[in-house]
Amino acid sequence: MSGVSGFEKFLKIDRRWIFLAVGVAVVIPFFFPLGLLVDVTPPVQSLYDAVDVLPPSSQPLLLAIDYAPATLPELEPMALAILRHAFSRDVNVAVMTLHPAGYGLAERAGLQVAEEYDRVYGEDYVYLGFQPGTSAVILSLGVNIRNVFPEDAYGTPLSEFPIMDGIRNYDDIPLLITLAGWSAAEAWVYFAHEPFGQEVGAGVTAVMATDYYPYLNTGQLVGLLGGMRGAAEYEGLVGHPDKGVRGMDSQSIIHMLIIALIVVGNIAYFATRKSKKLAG
Amino acid sequence: MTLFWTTIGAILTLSIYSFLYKDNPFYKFAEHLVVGVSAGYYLVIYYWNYIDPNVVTPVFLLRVGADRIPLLGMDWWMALIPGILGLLLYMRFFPKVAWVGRWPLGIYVGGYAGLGLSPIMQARVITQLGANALPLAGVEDPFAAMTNLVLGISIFAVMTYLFVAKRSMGAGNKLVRAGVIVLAAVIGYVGYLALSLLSNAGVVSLTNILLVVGLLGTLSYFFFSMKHKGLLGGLARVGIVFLMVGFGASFGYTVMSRISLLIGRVGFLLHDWLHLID
Repeated sequence: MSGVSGFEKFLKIDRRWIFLAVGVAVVIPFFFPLGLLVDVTPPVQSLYDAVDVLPPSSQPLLLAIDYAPATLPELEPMALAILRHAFSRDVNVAVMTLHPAGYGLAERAGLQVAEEYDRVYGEDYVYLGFQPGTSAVILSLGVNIRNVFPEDAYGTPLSEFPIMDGIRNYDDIPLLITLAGWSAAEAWVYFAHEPFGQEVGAGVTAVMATDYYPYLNTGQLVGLLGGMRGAAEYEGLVGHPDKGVRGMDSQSIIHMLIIALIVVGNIAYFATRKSKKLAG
Repeated sequence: MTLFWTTIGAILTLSIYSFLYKDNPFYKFAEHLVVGVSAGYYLVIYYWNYIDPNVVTPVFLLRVGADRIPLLGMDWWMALIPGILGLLLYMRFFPKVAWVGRWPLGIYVGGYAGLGLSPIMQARVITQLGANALPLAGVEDPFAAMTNLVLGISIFAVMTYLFVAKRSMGAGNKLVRAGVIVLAAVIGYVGYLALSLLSNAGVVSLTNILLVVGLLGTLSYFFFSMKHKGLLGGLARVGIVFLMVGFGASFGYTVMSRISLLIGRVGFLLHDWLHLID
């Protein structure tokens, strides 16, 4: 009887205790890292391989940083890891964004990693800035990049940058990667891959990841990073563990906690239901 | 100065999370601040990146050379048309002429539909359909190819029986017999598959079959023109299983996504603000 009573108490627990438990479980691994291994999954490996075969100091990788602050913890580690991968191999990068709130975030990511690898602006990478009108922008890029971005984000004509010499449209972009916390990744598939055959890779929030696996299976995406775990896997491949890897310890503990809560919650539910039936 | 703004960010973060305890003025303040700052930020970004270079500058200032609009490369006067249409959208704030606002909205919707119809159809329907037309066994094997053909015809026959014949004529004996033959073909195929499981091709076949069965089952679940009884009912129940697996995966990813946001904020507080961790 006392067991059932305990279950009833559990089912009526103040949810703030669960919030507290989650908070504690997140904080502890920051001070005592567990160093749990993160296996590399095929979608992440595919994207890594696609970047890894890009020719150095040649046509640029187009990195669309289409995220906002709300999805920063998941998507910024991806951006940093991909930029580190590209710059470590001398691959040129053109950064842009389709999200107005991504304007400063794209600039920040580019500046941070360019500084780490002593990349020169205009020669090794360029920041094109933001343009609204997602589908129209993506389609126009397939005609002429200068129709959409006649200047970089700071008002300098693209013709003044060596990195953009001979770069006209998707024919001159060997790979495009979008990091999106909204439907921009789908838009790149619709309007860049389908009409122009552009190779597209994507990094999306974990919530969105399951929606994008169909595009992976069909080859419409060359690779896919899903949430913080995807970022952690890519960081591991690049050999530069950062926020993604660090966050995975907390992720793992939280998932174990939630699984335990689901199991105990179900046991408590069925135990109390049985006792209620017996009683009444 | 950096510490000042980081501290502001930290206080706002804690204010937002204070809602977990209970609603309070600190949370309300932070919430309203986010909404207000976001609106202002978007307005400025949109104006300077879109309206100014594509409407204001070419039309009124003409400082972009050669009379060309950077975006889309059109003549400068053509900026007037979308500019005016954009202004018409605001007519909805004036009840007597609100109907005028429907014109630009109609053009916008129609334009997007025109732009999107072909590539979206290709990406979401045709390519996906092609991806589900999978070899259920190695096509280099003549026996397997023949089995695929038989299975394909069988599925078509069953679907035809279910969707057409049964509705219009009722279940006649000939059709029932045809159904039995189809069932026999399927059982034969399953037997073949069981044997081929000993090889890698068998595993691939099993995966492909799972995908196709999941697809047909899920489609059956969303087919509401007939009662979910008999074979259709069975397929629909199979579809429910696949749907539940899909929802479970989505839920797991959603937990990961939401916890990632918390991890990001905790990292900000401990690393950027308090400098307690490296």
